[in-house]
Amino acid sequence: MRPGFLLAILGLGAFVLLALVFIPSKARIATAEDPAPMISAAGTPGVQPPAQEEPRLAGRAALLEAQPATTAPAKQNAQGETLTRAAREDQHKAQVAARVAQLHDLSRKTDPASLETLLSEVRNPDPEIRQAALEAISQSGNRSAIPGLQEAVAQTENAAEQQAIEEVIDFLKLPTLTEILREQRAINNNAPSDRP
Amino acid sequence: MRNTVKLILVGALLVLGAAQSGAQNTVLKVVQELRFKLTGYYQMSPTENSSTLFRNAGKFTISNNDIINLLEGEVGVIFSSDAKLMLISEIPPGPTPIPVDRTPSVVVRDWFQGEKFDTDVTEYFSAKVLTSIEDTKINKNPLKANGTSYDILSFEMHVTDVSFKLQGFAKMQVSTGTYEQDPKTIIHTGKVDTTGSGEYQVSVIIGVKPVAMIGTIQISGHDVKAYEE
Repeated sequence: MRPGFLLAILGLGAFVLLALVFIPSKARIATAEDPAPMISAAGTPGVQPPAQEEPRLAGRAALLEAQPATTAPAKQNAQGETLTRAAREDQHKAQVAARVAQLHDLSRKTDPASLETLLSEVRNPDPEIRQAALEAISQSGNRSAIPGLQEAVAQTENAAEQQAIEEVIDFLKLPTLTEILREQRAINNNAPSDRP
Repeated sequence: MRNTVKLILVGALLVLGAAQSGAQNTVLKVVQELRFKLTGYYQMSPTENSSTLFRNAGKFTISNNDIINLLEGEVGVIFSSDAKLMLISEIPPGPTPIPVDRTPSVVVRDWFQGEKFDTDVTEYFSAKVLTSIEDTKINKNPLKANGTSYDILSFEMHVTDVSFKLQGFAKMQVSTGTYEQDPKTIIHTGKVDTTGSGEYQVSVIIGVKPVAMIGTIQISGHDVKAYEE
């Protein structure tokens, strides 16, 4: 075979190879949060992962302060005022959604500071944040919250809010399925054997 | 001979490149969080006095912690207190309107030494969208959806000590899911009012106790993530 022809084949092959390798690697999506690798049902046995750091939280005052001051002049047309109001509402919605997400994350924490934060938000003026705080406390299963919730009931005059808090108290007082099963296993293990 | 070897080498390299390209298939999926808040009723032992027989109902609660604890035994993983229950829905190819994934996967998302890992538990705890009736406005280009969806969802758990099936109705909020600021799919979020029944193992000798269940399942989140398969 002629050297020239051979060189042409090798060059073409190298070009195609580079194209196949280079283009897919560019198209590979690099995200800041890559999806977690899936593991099989066998998983990693016997491992207790460490607790995550508690996220820094913006208090309610910070949420209200974050709304931007209106720098528009006093004499502004109606359309401009509507746009500014709409932008503030959108920002408020986003802040509430972020706070709700933070409260849901706290439901998995067992430290007193997290519980205190959740209890403080039970009396937040925003109903969505109040509801999120109550749901987070329910999810946590933390019975240490009961005295704080009872205090919130006493300080609330709204009957619907009182009922919502009392429902959470009743939920926390009940045994969990985990506790029921654990108690049952203990009974089964302590049961006398039929064998002599 | 030398030329033949060179040609074979080029061919092999070409095949290798093609195989590598074919293995990288990226799909987008909707990732949402599940939060269960259920109350279970079971029959306790009866009590009586001289004139009256009392049949007593016991109650317990089921939340995410209990479900994750039950799944630990099946998958052989000890999850941390930070573990979450997630619902992962595929985005099927097709024209707008994009259909809802009727059989999403359920995973437990946890963290180990700062790294996130998902454990697919669908084999033991599955979800189905039985019906989805939308009342929505969907802008075709760019894709933008908002409105309401009336959905019926079911969840089933089958593990060693417990099994149950839940079904419920939800008036879901419909919105647009974006990936890298590009609208990709329609997302349903909301709270499912659910009831169901099941049983739990008391002992090998006694057997199982039936349970009646009621509660809510919150489905939240609008994340669209890329998965390589």
